[in-house]
Amino acid sequence: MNDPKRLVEDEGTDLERLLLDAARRERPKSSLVPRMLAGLGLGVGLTQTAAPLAAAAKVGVGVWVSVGILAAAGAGFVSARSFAIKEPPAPPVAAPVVTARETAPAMSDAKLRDEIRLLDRARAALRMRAPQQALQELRHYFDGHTQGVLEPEAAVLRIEALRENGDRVQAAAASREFLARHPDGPLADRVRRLAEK
Amino acid sequence: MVGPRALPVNGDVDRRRLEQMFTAHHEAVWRTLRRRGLSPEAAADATQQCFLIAAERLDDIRKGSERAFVLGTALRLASTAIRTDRRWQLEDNMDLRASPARADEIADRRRAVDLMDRVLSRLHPDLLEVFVLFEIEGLPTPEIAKMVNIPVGTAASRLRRAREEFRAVVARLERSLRREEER
Repeated sequence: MNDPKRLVEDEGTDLERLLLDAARRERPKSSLVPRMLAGLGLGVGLTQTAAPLAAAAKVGVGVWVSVGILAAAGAGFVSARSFAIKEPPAPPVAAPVVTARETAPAMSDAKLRDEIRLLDRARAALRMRAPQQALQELRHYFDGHTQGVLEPEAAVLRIEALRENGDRVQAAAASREFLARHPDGPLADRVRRLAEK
Repeated sequence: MVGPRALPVNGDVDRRRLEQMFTAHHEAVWRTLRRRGLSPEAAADATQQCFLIAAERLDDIRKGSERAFVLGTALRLASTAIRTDRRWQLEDNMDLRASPARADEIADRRRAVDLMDRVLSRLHPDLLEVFVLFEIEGLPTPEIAKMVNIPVGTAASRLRRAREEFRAVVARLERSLRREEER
């Protein structure tokens, strides 16, 4: 069974293609990607690969794509219009998308970069089974970022570090506090599982 | 004793695999969640949740099936999440006067995406997910069928109906835009 051609290729009307193209180009804004990465503990590797991809992405930014819609949409009803959309080129259909394009601008945000750096250091200390060092890094984090965007991730790392350090009572209290503040957050299940161990 | 880990993955190999999965697919996952009506922030939270689930089940994900796994997970998460997240709704008559999207104002991607979501909100959820995966994410129908757990013929049929509905809604939108032009 052969698939039909996609509307965005040449089957659709101008307006259909405009809407589909806009949806295909949408990406999470730059502040959301590092937050997702940090929440997954994936900041280090992807941060290291961001720079060259960022440079490549800059080439695409600033390309103006004019889409004439409704131009052929009905005899005499509508005047032709041109809608200018400032966008990087759309990714190839169905191809795995290299994502650092959106990650890269966030890396220029010094505050966010510092948050990620401190959490990476805390995470690395935990991997080395050095919970006191991890707690020290997290103290630096909380001292320097009272309203950090990665605060939930930092709080979970602190719970893990407290547990590893043998401070079960403090870890339990921190877990309860976290779940009270983020009962439905993406990290809540992880904290619940930690609490059950 | 197993030390604490930020993720339930076993070692650098798994971590690299998860990083590759995230790099390749997180935008598609996030977009798919957005098209199911989640706000950008809610979609980011659900994307993170999706990859946390992938991390936990990394051993069960066959090589080459990563995209199917994370997008399938995203669809299931979306079904839960949309119950608590506001969805755009269109008036039956597609009157756009209340929206900022006059034809000559759709000059930026933000408004076009917003308009697209209003159009998609008119589609039945079963048709919507097939349409989004085919028309926006560019997946072939056999892969969509596996992901949604339906026969290939059903996927093709849903796609056909989804396209008919989408085109009908866009045609109505276009007529609304023309009326705005005439005023």
